[in-house]
Amino acid sequence: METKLQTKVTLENQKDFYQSLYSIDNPFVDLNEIPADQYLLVDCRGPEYCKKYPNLNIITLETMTTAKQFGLSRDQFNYLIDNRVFNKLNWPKISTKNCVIIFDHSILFKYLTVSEIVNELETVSDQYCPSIILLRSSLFFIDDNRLTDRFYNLVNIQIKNYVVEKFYYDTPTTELMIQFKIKNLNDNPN
Amino acid sequence: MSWRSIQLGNNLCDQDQLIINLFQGKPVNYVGNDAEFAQHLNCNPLSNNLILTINCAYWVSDIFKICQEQLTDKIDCVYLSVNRYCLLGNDTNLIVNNIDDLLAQIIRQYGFDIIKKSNTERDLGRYFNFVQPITWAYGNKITN
Repeated sequence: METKLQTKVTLENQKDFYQSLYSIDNPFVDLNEIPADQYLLVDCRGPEYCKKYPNLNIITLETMTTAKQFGLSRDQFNYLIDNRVFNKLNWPKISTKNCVIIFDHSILFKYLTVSEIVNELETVSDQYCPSIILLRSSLFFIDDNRLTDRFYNLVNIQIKNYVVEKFYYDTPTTELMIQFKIKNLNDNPN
Repeated sequence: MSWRSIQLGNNLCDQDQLIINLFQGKPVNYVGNDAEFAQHLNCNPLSNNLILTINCAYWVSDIFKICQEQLTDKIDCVYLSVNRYCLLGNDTNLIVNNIDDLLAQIIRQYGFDIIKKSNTERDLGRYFNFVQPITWAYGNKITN
């Protein structure tokens, strides 16, 4: 379906637009509670997270769209995600070690279906092998079936080789948070 | 600065313009949460023309309740829109296939003939989320 753009980021509205879009006033995910060697912050206020946690090894990934529209300078992000084709993300090659991936109200997931989100989570899990994947989103932005009890659609999210460690579903605040933990594949019951 | 003015400045989006064209400056009772858009309408809470935009967090039962309150006998003409992305879920035992069917069912239930209807599947600006993506229907009271 053709998408007709109705809004435009300009030099005049750029700052306000960014702040509204990325919900600048939302509380940060507490990275200190998730020990890791690296934190991959995907399309989610990366520069603000770096200021908040100056002692952590944070790697920020921004989409090409965000970098271009909001005029991010090269020192405001580490890697770009190629999102020039809608629903087809190309993830950058990054050498990772014991990393955690955070999607905190990431715009690149906005209006994706549950299966589309799962596809992307599986891609990043294959590519970066994180120990934890944390997905935080507004329920408004997840395009699942809203005419059933959608909780059951969301609890069925599964990522290969990962288990759900935390699940938070709150309709009054419209918050969804799912934390996945990598399975311990070295476990040997014998 | 509001989210609307950040995104649109003083311009109107297509859906704004569509609503304005449907009512052509006639007095309307605007029921919705977009006070800035309401300024472009000839608002009169006593009007027989109703613009009902449901654009905040709600359950299916809320839609029924709001429509019951607003679609009174005195209404002759209605524009009803729902931002589907604000839907929290179906908290009724009714089986609803899609929002289009739900709106059509409601409008007919209250004695209106649907003149126009449509939906916008996706956020038209990727960010533009205060009136779209929406499903909408416009109808007149059936008269004998």
